[in-house]
Amino acid sequence: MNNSNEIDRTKGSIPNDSQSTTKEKAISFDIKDILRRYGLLLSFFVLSLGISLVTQNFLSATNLLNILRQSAIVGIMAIGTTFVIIGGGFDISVGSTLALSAALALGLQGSMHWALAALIAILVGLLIGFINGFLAAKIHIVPMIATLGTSTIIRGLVYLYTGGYPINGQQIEFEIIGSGYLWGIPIPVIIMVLLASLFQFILSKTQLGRYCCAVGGNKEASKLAGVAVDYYHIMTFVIGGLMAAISGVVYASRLSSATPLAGQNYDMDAIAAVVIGGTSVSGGEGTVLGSIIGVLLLTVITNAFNLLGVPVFIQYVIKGLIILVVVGIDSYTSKRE
Amino acid sequence: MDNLTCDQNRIILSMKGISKSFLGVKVLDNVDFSLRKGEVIALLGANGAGKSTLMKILCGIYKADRGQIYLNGNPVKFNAPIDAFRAGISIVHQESSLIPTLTVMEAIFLGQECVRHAGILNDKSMLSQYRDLSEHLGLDVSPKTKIRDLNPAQRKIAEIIKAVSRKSTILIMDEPTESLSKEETSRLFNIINDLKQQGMSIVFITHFLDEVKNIADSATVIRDGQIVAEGLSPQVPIKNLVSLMLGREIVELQSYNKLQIGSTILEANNLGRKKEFTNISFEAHAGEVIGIIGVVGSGKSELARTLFGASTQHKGTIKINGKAIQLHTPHDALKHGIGMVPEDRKTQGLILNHSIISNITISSLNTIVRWGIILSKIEKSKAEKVSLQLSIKYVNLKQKIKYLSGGNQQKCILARWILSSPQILILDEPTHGIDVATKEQIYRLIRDLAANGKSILYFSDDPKEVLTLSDRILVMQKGKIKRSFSELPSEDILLKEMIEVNNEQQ
Repeated sequence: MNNSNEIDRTKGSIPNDSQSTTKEKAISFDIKDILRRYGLLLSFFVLSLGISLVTQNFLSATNLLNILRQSAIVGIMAIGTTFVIIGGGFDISVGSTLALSAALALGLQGSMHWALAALIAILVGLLIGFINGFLAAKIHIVPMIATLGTSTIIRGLVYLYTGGYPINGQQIEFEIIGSGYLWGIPIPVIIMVLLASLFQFILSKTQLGRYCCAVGGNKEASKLAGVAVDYYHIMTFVIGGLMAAISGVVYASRLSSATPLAGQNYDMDAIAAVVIGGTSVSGGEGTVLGSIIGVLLLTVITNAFNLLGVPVFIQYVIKGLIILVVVGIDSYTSKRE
Repeated sequence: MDNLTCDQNRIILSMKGISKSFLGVKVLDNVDFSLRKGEVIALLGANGAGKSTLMKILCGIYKADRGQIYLNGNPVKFNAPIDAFRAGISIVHQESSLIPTLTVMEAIFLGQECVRHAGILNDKSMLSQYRDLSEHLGLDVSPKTKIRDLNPAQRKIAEIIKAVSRKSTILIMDEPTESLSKEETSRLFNIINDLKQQGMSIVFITHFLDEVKNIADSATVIRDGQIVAEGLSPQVPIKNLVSLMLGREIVELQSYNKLQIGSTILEANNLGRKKEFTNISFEAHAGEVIGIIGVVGSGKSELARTLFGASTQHKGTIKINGKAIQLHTPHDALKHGIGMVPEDRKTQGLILNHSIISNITISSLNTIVRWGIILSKIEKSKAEKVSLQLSIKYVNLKQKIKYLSGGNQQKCILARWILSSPQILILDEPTHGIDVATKEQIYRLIRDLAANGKSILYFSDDPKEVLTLSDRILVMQKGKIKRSFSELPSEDILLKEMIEVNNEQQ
């Protein structure tokens, strides 16, 4: 009897005890959650602050706008790459798609209005995205390999179209897209912000976005829930191709010139930014906003190196290390959970 | 008790004061658990009671927040599964942990390959070991078969072979008999008895309470993260065990009111697919539950998938409401008002990293969007309502579904189809790995769906539950409908029809 009384008493005291510990747990969990959610943004600001302390020009309005403008082209591309990776795919053809789109946007201007030329360039990007998606979803080629193939073909087409020489712009109005300002903000930046907001909305609030995530999260389960998985899998690539083509148009307008080598390594930068931005490499989860921050982070680092006069060769090494560290911390902590 | 020195009764494992929380929710609360040499303990508990968590702590998969594990009286600390494995603790998981692309032999000997000098594999020695073990356990497949080509029962046996071949001193089996037939189960029990004679200690987690008296030396019951009874005699009546698990008395498994059946909804005519099944013809009516029963490998899962468009149908016709239809994908099936609860919850049912709410509404999103935009308030209220209806336990609908217990996860999949409201609902083993109380809820829910005019196709290998639920029963064997019962037979007859090969039919 005595014993059981004691047990009862201890049991009676447990709820209080456990309540307080759960509360503590809940709070500490919140901090963890905040870190996971906003850690990237936080590190971005800390890094920027650090850079502004060691360099003179970093925080100047010109330099900040410069950083934003430099981010715009890869930023737009990264919006599409976010969808592709969330859908469980990979697209390494977006750099070539940018080159083709840029070449078409400038090359077609000789025979038509620049807006029509840009539109055609964008539609070609859509088509390329569809082909990538079709190869991955319907023919079941691993996306990395499928886009490796299309990437090579597209780059070849760019060479064929340009004859190996740069194409230069002819219509001054077209250059406004890349070089103009609206309320003192570069137009490419405005385009990036608008597209990023739109596609963040699509990703988190629409059926299209929900199903793209579902397909990347578990294709078999999505299929057995009645989702038209192939359609949504293809759609992620279509968005990828579309964004690459738009970034190609901005690129062409900004430089008023398209070389056959345009956009090389942009696909890798976009993938790096998306992954730094917290999108799961295995698919199913991610945000467009994270990817944009990822792009900004990479640009800021490059910018700081330039301001500090770090040689380009070393920049590559350090940039690679940063990607590994950022993604490594995330992968390691989430694995330990 | 602790002072017993007799070797056969020596305590080789004790876990003291184990506590563990996930996301602020206490899953284990100051649990003590001990195991003697050569003892088989049945560890019982409802879904989410904490039994799997306790065992995962024991084998180093999770780390306890508090508490200590002693092996042979010495404190030990496991930072990773490999530490526990080296200390002689093996586990057979509920879900297969074998790598699908390896061959059976590679998977079984993974990490403990027989090696000659210079790291060259000794295939001969592994092969002979494999032959011994597979014959003993009745795994009748070539050692070169890929794991992904095994059916669930064969996978489970391969996994047991793997654990047995490791010659551990402590073996944890988490629902090992779930996908096994009666014969396979009794063969497994023989092996467990052998292992026990050789001094191995076994923790046996099961939902099939009638197995306890056949295999266990004692039973331990865990409820809401605390041990509520231990050292129970295996002869304790099942009813009492269930009350302990639930913390309340339960009503006897009730039989449900059979309804008047309505119009014909589904007509399957002469369906066939490869060698998996042939000549399948039947009709399903509104308000009717058809139990389709057969052992693993009878072709019933393949039939279920084909009726849902998840596998291609090669022969025959399917008519819905009198109209012939073609099902190329589950998406087509959904459009024709067919839904399915798939066999494997984790890989086929859920998107584990997504929230509860998006897992629930995924099949009915069409009804909750305007211009493609999800109406989040409506989505939330629909999900809340159906969760309440099914008494799904959750902290927050936005929480990832992987943190729910198996029973609650399965209820979420049912909730998905209740929201989508198809006229035909196919269920493939929906109560696998689910505790008695939740099973009851699921049965009642299925009868309610039938009462509302749905046509239910219930695929199962358990005669008891098929008899409880069904209006009619079809018995499948070797890809054919062997017999159909429009009146419910006795359990014995049904079981006999399932497993006995009828030679005249050949």
